[in-house]
Amino acid sequence: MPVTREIWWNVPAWLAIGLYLTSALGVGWTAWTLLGHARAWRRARPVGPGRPLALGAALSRVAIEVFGHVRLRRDPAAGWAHLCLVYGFVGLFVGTCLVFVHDRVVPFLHGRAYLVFSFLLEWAGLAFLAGVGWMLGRRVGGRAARLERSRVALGILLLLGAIGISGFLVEAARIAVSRPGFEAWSFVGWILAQGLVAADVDARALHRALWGGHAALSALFFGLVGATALRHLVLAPVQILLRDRRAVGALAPASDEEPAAPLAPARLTWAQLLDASTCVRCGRCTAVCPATAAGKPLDPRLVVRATLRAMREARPLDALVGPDELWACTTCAACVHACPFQIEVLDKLVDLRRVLVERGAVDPAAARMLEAILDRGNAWGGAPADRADWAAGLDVRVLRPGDETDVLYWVGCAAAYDPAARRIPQAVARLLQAAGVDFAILGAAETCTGDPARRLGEEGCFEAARARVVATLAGVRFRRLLTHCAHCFHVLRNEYPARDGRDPVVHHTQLLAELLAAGRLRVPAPPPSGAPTEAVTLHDPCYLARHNAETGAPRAVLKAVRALEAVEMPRSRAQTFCCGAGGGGAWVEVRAGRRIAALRMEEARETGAAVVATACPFCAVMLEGETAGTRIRVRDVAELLWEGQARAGP
Amino acid sequence: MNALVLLHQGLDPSLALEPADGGTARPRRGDPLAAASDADRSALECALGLARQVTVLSVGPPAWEALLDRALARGAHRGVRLWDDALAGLDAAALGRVLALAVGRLEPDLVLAGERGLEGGTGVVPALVAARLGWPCLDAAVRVAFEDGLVVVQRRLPGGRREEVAAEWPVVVSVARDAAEPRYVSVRARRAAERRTVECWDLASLGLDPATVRRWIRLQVTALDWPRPRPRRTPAASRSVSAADRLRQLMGPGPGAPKPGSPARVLEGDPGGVADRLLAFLEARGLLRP
Repeated sequence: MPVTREIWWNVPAWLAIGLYLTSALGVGWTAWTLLGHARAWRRARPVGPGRPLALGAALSRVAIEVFGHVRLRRDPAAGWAHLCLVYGFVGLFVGTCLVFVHDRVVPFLHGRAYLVFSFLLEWAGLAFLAGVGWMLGRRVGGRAARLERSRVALGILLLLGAIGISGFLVEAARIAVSRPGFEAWSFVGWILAQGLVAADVDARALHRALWGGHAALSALFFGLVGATALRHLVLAPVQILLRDRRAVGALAPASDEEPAAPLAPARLTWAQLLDASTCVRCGRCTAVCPATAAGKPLDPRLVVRATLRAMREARPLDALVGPDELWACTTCAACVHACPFQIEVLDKLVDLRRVLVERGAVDPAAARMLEAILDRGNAWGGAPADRADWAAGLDVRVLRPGDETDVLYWVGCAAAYDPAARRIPQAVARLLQAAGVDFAILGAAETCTGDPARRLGEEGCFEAARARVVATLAGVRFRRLLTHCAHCFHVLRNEYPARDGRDPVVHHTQLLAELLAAGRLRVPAPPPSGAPTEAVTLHDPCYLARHNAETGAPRAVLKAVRALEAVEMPRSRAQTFCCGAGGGGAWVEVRAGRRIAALRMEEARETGAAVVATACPFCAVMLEGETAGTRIRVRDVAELLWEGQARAGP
Repeated sequence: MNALVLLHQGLDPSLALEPADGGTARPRRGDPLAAASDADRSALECALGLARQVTVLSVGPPAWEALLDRALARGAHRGVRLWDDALAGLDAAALGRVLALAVGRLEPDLVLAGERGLEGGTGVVPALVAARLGWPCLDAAVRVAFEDGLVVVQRRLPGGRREEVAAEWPVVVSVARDAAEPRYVSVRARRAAERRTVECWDLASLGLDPATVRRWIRLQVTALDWPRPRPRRTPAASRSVSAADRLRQLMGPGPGAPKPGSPARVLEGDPGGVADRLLAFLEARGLLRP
């Protein structure tokens, strides 16, 4: 007996034709539904200018995610299960294609090639079934709280399992008929065949029935790809390749046409619709959302789902997502970061906010804040002339138009008008003076960057604020723009016209780390051995750690404070948990549920730290508001460094 | 039903001033030069809620066009700015006479103005206009409505009492600043409104000549004094209130916001728990018998 197998053995012609017909039907149905999605994307708005598509980098990103499952494996159990399933599926799919090649193009599955092929496919099948079983267990056993109770999802898993098992049984029945010895390489089929032989069934009839069943299930699967979340098989690589290429959390300009009109799907960008088509509702976004965790009426997964529904039913998105959901978002981008496909939730929420703002439907507190930005150039409604009050007695140079400085210190409104945040620029200024840095501030000429306005959906106010700032900055000369505010940092860096890299924006933690590394700032002597050290935990600001991927600098600064010992919170670095201030959350508080900052402080307290370090005035103020009745202190890293230097003495 | 809203702008009373030439005061460097009054904005909001046709009128120089633009963006249908150099430095009585003439020409059914607008802070201008026209004047309005063909106004009286008065139109109403929270108008809507033109009237359109108007002015400012900068009370970085509440305190009074320094606070939590704490609070003060 030759070492190979007859491909259409025991398959009558009508069954073979049936296989091709039903498969073509399934594939056709999926192509048709996907075309429907594509038609909706084509009707949508174009994406505004983003970074140019670097094809090589984008393709490698796709390869890393498809074959490496890097983002998926952030949840290890789900990630590995999915990895097994995908590798098994790809193996079986490639195997089936090879069989087709062998059958119709070049026969090559003979002898050793056939044995290796059979052996590898057994493993692929096992991996596939292991993945399916693992996922079924997670769903049925309720191990993953983030998963929806979805009959469709359960049905798809059962279908996949049935396809895998029937595949093995077809093989077993075929082996059971002739029982060639070399088929022991197909070890799963071989073992099952022994069972069939022992049970003395009509293997030939069983084979034919199972073959038909396996083919029918496969065709059904093909048909379901377009109609269910299985779409991600096709769309996920496309989404990862083409996703809107802005920095995480950086917003696109609003469309100018009828800004107050209902947000029909055609008024979204194709990238936003592609997002919605790709979503598999895995709930990773919901699991990390601070608003959801605090019991506020926002579920990011449902927002993406509503976008898909709006697209399918051609209904405006604002009819499907309520105002309380919109205002509860802190734009912390945890959802984007957690999503395996980097689906943007917050850009949809901000687009919805834009519609409400144009209709005048904003919270009175938000309205006062926006008016304050327009009339007084700051979000606190303080007097512009009071802006540099924090610097009283510090001998900080104020730039006049035409002046020049090495480092221009952009102080931001929070530190200028909130007495609780005033200590931050004071510490930064003292440190810069100690390091001999040539720096200056703009004083009363500084105005709001427009960040809170943009996150609240008031694009016109943001544009006006940005134009004012750009004009002010054009009037002075400087080499670097320094800011201690994570929000100013993000918006100046990512949402302002590029200044050709002439004056890069630096965060104060970056500059302080640089000064420490260069030896321009003294590292205080370590405390004498036996002297008590205090535990400190760093709360990474979202706009620094997630939007701008800077997590090393604040830690490097903290490390220089020898009297402190760093402990990490469970959610740190890029996985940090919001303080609740972002996206205008500091002004517009959705009162339902708990305060987000309270949740974060609980997490900080559980580390046993005596000090919570931050690197953003908003985080500092929000977290400090939750310290009632505790001895825990909230300090900016610059304050801690200055305290450390002052304590160590001259 | 047509409404006319009188708008005025002046120095922002919440900002400190610095000395200027000739013993006068001016805003400090960087501070805005002028602001509309909150009461005027509240009056406009009331008018927009009541009338089919809303006209806004200002007696002011070309720099005031922005004030009227913003009113148009808020939803006013027509903007009129009346100006002549002779109208600079009008006293309340003269302003009242000029406005009465303008009202006579515009023929509204209802005139609304902010209570104690910024025209020297006298608060008598709406009353003077009403007196000139022979219309009733309903002042200190915290609520304005139409009921059974009458203009019904809830007035704020001393001691926190309220009085409801009704009158047949035409009437003049002076509106308190907290009568209505002005709706927010986006910058885009403001830009669109800038494309609409504000009508400019001169004295001749009211049949006046500058000499007449100057004769009406019987009052002159002889000296100006302003308070030396006083320390403002800003809420300290307190551990006892949440950041959101403290921010509200910093941003000044709004609807339902505790005033700076007041012991008022917002109770949060589940309704049952909040009710229990309220009861305990009232009992502790002897306001409720346990």
